[in-house]
Parts: sequence; structure tokens; C-alpha cells
Amino acid sequence: MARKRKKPHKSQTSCKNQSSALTPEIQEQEIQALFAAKKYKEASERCKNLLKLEKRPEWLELLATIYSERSKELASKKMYKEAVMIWRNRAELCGKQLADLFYFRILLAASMVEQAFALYQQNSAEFEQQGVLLEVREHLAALSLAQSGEILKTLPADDVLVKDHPAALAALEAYCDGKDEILQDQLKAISFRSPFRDLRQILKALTLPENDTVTVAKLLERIPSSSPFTPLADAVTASFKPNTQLFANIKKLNPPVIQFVAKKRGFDSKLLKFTEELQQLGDSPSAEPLLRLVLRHRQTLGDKYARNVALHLLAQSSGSNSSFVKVYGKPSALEYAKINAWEEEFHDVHPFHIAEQWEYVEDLLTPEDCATPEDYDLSLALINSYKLQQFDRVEDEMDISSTPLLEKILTNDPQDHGSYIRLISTYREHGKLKQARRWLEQAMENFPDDIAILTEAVETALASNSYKKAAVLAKRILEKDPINTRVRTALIDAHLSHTRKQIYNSKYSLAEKELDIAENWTRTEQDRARVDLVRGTWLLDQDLVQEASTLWMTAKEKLGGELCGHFYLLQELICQKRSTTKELKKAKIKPLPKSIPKEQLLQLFRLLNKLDKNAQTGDAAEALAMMTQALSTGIKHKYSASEFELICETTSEFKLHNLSLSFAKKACKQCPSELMFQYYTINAQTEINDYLSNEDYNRLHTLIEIAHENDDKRLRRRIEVLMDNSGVPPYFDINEDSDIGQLPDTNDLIDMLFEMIPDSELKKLKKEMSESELREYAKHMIERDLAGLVDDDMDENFDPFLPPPKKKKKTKKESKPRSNKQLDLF
Amino acid sequence: MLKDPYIILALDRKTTDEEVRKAYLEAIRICPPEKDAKMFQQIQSAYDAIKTHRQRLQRELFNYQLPSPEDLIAQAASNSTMSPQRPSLANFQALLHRSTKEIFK
Repeated sequence: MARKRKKPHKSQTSCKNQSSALTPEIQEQEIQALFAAKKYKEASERCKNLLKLEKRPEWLELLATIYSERSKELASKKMYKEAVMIWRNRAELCGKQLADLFYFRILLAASMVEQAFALYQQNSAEFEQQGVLLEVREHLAALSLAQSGEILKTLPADDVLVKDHPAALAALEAYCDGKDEILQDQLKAISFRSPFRDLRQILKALTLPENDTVTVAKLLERIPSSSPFTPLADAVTASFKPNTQLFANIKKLNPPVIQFVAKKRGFDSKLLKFTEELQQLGDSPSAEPLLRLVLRHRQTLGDKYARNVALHLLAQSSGSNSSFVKVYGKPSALEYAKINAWEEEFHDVHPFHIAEQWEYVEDLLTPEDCATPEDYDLSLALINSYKLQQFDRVEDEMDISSTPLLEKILTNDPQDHGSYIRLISTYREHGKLKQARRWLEQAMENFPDDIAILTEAVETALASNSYKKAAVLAKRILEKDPINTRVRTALIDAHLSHTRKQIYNSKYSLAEKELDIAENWTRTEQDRARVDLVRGTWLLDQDLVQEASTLWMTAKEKLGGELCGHFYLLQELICQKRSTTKELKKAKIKPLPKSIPKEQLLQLFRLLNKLDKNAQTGDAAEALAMMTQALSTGIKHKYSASEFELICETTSEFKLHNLSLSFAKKACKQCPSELMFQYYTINAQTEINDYLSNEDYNRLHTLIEIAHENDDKRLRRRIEVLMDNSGVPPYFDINEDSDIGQLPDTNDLIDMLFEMIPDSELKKLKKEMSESELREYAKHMIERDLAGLVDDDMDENFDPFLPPPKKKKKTKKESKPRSNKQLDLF
Repeated sequence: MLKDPYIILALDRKTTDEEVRKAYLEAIRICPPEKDAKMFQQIQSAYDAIKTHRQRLQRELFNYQLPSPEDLIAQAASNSTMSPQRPSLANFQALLHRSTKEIFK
């Protein structure tokens, strides 16, 4: 049957018509352009047309190059058979040699093994001329081992492949059968020029002991990356890797390598099945399918380990947990509690809720759940310590409410060094020196030469006005640690405190003696300047005005210049309960200038930021309040976002709320995208008003949502604390005209309520009663709830004209009633 | 990536401080930083996570992270009952065959 002649493609005909109108030179240029644009197919068609005009050698060469690139392009797309066809066209139409390493490789990739052998047999000389004969032979050698030696029968008996194949195969079989003597004999028969030489290296490596990785690496590094034996060499390298390295990369290995390594290392078929199924779940498997897999392969993983992993998976799984119950039965109450705690952690809920869940674990934990009684005590201590860490995320670490928990921790774990330090310093900072000394005694029994504990002892002695005891302890510390600045500073502070007391009691000679001792402890210019500030007041009291003035001026310079120095001086005068105005006037110290340079202002805020937290309510705060006017002039400067944050944070900490508000508002204008400044604005406004307005409450709600989306945990926590401490705004606007302000329209509320009910549920309800009955029922419910709300508020303390009361801060002892979640889990 | 410190240090869950230290020293001997810096870092972190009894108990109680797939495979391998064997001819042939298939990789 005659074949229908294929119609030429429209574009081809138009192309032909167009090209025939062009000169050959222009056509050649266009073909070159198509070739450069990697449009090989179109370029070859045009080139063939051009060759019909004249068989110019350079055009033939051009067509050969185009075919070559087209063939390579197809091979890169794994279209090996098509690549073979194009290469053959190249040889046929352009008179080019067929034999080429690239052609040989695409024949192998296209599984055209017989053709590959034939190519080798007919073109050995050409391959040798190209310098690729050995590589071609190596590929055929690997192939002859991978398939069967039958394929070699097409080759002459004197071919090196035919000659060396029996020895290579015998060596391989001898290794597999464990016949090492035969293996060694056969390896000797494989020469270093043989195409099987890479196999020889591999088999030699495989017979080495498993810890001789250095020799193995040396033997295998001789195999080039282009060798067909490289995948085998890689598998051998993997099989010698230590477990940690092997398993860290096991997911990158392909199945034949895993099979090879598994056999050599003694991993059973169950493990291979587990690995295969796990790989099917992807790189980050979700909890539910992983749980099913773990339960299915619990024996492979080890029952105890599998159960533990499964419990952890329950905490992250949102689906049914029946598969776990079917295998292991219901978890114990303690396990339920742990699952809930892990779940809370996984979802990163409020730290109080996490702490609460661990409290349930603590309640349920018994000595029987632990390996030893010591483990039980330690577990309790660890749980309480963990609870404390959660509270620390939202509360001040030095809060006195942390002490019962710290005491509990130390009762269960008397070796907890960190908790001793924290408990002692908290008690001391809150003036509870008796308790501080009691725990200090226990700490010193457990850690007699510990510098941190001794430092606490020094500070506690100083707080108790036991200066001699403090000095003895300080010397003990300085013998071991001569540059312990904390102890040195504490000692100087103590002597200065004593000096102030003596000055106050007009015991000037004793005061001078104390000043000299304090000066003896100083090592830095700054410490000396602090002593000089006190000495200045002593001089002033002796009417040595000029000396006092000079001393103060120099001290101010050493303490950071005009602004910082002035702050320290004011602080000293306040500390000695002196009239700042009178004393500054007497010593002829100039007041602060009306305009403060930006750098000085930032320097002061950096200094304040580093000050002890307690300074925020003490003399430092008072000194700073006296400087407010001068500080407020700094608003005219330009600041970066981080500088604004430093100022807002510090002014807020020192309760300079008006100043904080001004800076925060300016920061909001300058950096509208920085949500933190909106928080600072609302925070300052709330502190000034002493309540959180409805408007600000709503803004905080929006802010917290954005912070959540941005994963800004810091801002989220701060807003939560502000909302917690500032109380909820009243639901109704209470005004002078009515006790209950504007009630929302009931119909609107009913509509809102209906919108909240899922459609399917609403349909069910509407089947049971008419819409009017339903609305009547909802109205009744709303009115009843509103009445309850008003009644609840009408207690004896309720005054509708006052802003909403501040909500009581949640204490650590508070806990919400146990949720039913644990019971609902299964 | 391996995450479980017990797997990284090839240790049983019931172990002692001394055993952990020994395993750590052995692990860094096999894998010093110049050989594999990333793995060395992992070994270091694993040791820091479980070197004391207190830390191990802490981990047992509070660690809510799941093991990585590599951890699970390693754990399963540690329970494998088969003894090491020499790979078969078929294992070799599968690898050599793959090299022909992946000649352009």
C-alpha cells in the first residue's frame, strides 16, 4: 500500500519560501543565529535546505555541529534513543565518524548493549586514536559483570575483555562466597591495565577490617569519578562509615546502595522495609502517618522506644488516637498529663498554661514511676524548675513570689547551685535577710569554696551591715579571683554607705576613715569618681566649697561627662537626703544646659539600661525625674529605630511615662512599620491614665494578631502582660445619664449569634422550631446572660463612674480548673 | 539529620555519666572536626545534652521534639538481629547495572 506523502509543515513551507528569496550568505547567518539561540531543530532544517543549493564543506561542518549539539540536548533530557538517531544522521549526512565516546555512552544509556559492543568491536582503533579506549572497555567490563558474560561471545578471543572477564567474575564470586584465598589468586590475574582494574581495588577494600577506613579510602580514591565502578565504590565507602555518619545521610542513598550496605552491616529485611516505608513519607513526615508507621514497626524499633515515640507523636497528632490504644491500651494518667504538657509546648501556648500542665504531671508523679527514690526527688525538682522557667518568660526573675517554688526545688535537690544563688539574692533584694542567711548557710555547706556562693555571702553580709564579715569573705574571694569586680564594687558600695551614715550623724573623722578604706578598694577611675562624689559632700560640710566643687567637676567628667555625671551627682545628693538645689548652688555647679546633645542623651540611656533593676524605684529614678525637663529637649533630634527603642524602654522602666509617650509617638511617625512603638505608646498612655481605654484595648488586639502572624513572640508576650495587668475595658460605655450605657441592639446580637452557629446546626434548629420562636428563645438567653453580667458587677466595691479596675496579676499558686482535655483525648 | 543524642553517641537510654563521656571521646576520635565539622558539632551538642544524670532526666521529662527519620532508622538498625554478611553477586550486579543507567548523571 502506497504511503500518503506527509504534508510539509506550514511554517516549514513558508520558511522555505522565505529562505529561497534570501542570498545563501544571509541564510547562513540566520542559521548561525538559530544555532546560537539553541534552536537546533530549525537550524538543522534550514541548513539541510541550504546544502541542497550547494554542498559547501563549511555548511556540512555547520550541520554536523548542529546535530552534535541537538543530540547532546536530547541526551540531557534522557531521550537517549532520539539522541542516537540524530548522531547517526550526523554521520550519514555530514560524513562524520560514528565512533565517539558520546555515541557509545548514549547507546548504553538507551540499553542498546549489542550495538555498543559492535561499535567497540568495529572501532577499537578509532577509540584508541581518540584516547578513550580504556574508558569504553571499562564500561563494557562493568556491563559484562552486571549482565552475563554471554555478551562477550561476540568479541574475538584475544580481546582483553574476554581474556580478563573470567578472573574478574571468579574474584567477585569468591568474595561473595567468602573464599578469600581464591579471591587473592584471581585478583593477581587482573593487571593494572585491565578494564577490570577498578573492581580489583574495590574487592581489596572490601576484605579489609571494618575499622581500617584509612586504607579503604586510599584504595578507593584511585577510582576516577568517570569510572563505571564509581557507584560500587561509593556503596563500599558508605558500608565502612561509622553508624552516626551512615545514618545521618541514609536518606540520600539509593535503594541498591542501601541493600548493599544493609547486607554488609547486618541490617535485616524488616529494617529495609521500615526504611523504604519511611522514605515514602517524605522528608518531614506528619504525625499521623508516622504514628501508624511506628506502631506497625514497633518490633523493629524496639517496643519500649516505639511506645515512647508514639506518646510524643500523640502530642503532635490532631487525628484519632485509637491506633495507639489498639496496640498499647490507654496511656496512664501520668502519661496523659505528659502528652498534654508536650502538646502545650509544641503549640507554644502562654507559659502559664505550660506550667499548669507540668503541675498536673507533678501531682501524678509517684516514686514508683521513677527508677530510684533519688530520681523521684530530682524529677520533682526539675519539674518545679521548669515551671519557674515558664514564669520567668513573663515575670521579673527577682519577683518574691518565686521563692516558695525555689525553696521546693532546693528541698528536693540540694545540689541545685543556680537555685541557691537566685533564692538568696531574691530574699536579700526584698529585705528578707533572715531567710537569705538561712539558705546561704545551706548553700555554703554544699558549695564551701564556690565563688558565686561566697559573693552572695559578701552581699548578704553587706546588706546586714556586717562590714567586717563582708571584708573577710571578700578577701577570700579576691585571693582566688583577684579581678572580681562585683565583690570589689560591693565592698566600695558598703563603705560608701557607711560613710554616708557617719556624715549624716556628723561623725566626720569616722566618715573620712571610711572614705579612705573605700578608696583603697578602688581599681578603676569610675570607682574613684564615685568615692569623690561622697568626699565632695564631706568637704562641703567642712565648708571647703572650692575643693568640693573641683572634686565634683572632675568626678562628673570621669563618670561620663555633663549629663551622666550630673545624674550621678544628683543621685548621691538624694541618697544623702540633701537638698539638691541648695547643695549644687553652694558648690557653684551649673544647672544642665537647655539643649542636650544627642550623643550625651543616648549615653545616659545606655547607662540607665545597664543599672540594677532596683534603681528604677530608688534614688536613680528620683534623680532622673529631676532631669525630665532637660531630657525632653532631646526629642528634637533624629534617632534610629534601635535608639528609639532604647529610649522608650528605659523611660518606661524608670516610669517617666510622659517622656516615654512623647518619644514613642515620634518613633511611630518615623517608623510606622515597627509595631513595638505602638505598644510603647499605648503602654505609656495606659500608665498616665491608670487604665486601658477601649480604643487602645482594640488596638492591642489588632497588634497581638499581627505579632502572632509575624511570629514576634517578644511583642506578643509584652502585650499579653499589659492586657493582663490593665484589666478588661467595660463592655458598656458608662456615662452619667444611665447606669447601664448604650446596650447593643438585641436583634443585632441575635444575628451575630446565628452567624456564629454552623449552617448545618442552624438548619437542624430551624427544623425543630420556627425562626420567630428561635429568635425569641435566643433573646431570652441573651437577656438572662446580660442580667447576670450586671448583677455580677453590682458588688459593694462597684462604682460605675470609675475606670475599670486593674485585673489582679496571676500568681503562681493560681491554677485554672483541670481541663477535660485529658479525658477527651481518647 | 540525626537529632537524638543517644543515637549520635551510640548509647543505651540507661547509661551513666562515665559511659556518656567514653562514648563521646570515642565518637570524636572517629569523627574529628577536620574530618566532618558538621558531624563533630552534632556529637558535641549530643554530649552537652546528656552528659549528666540531671540532663538525661530533664530530657526524658521535657523533650517534646520528635526523632528525625534518620534517628528512627538508626534506632531500628540497632535492633537488627541479622549478623553482617558479604553482599551477594546480585547486590554487586544491581549497582553495576545502575552505573550504566546513570551514565549521564
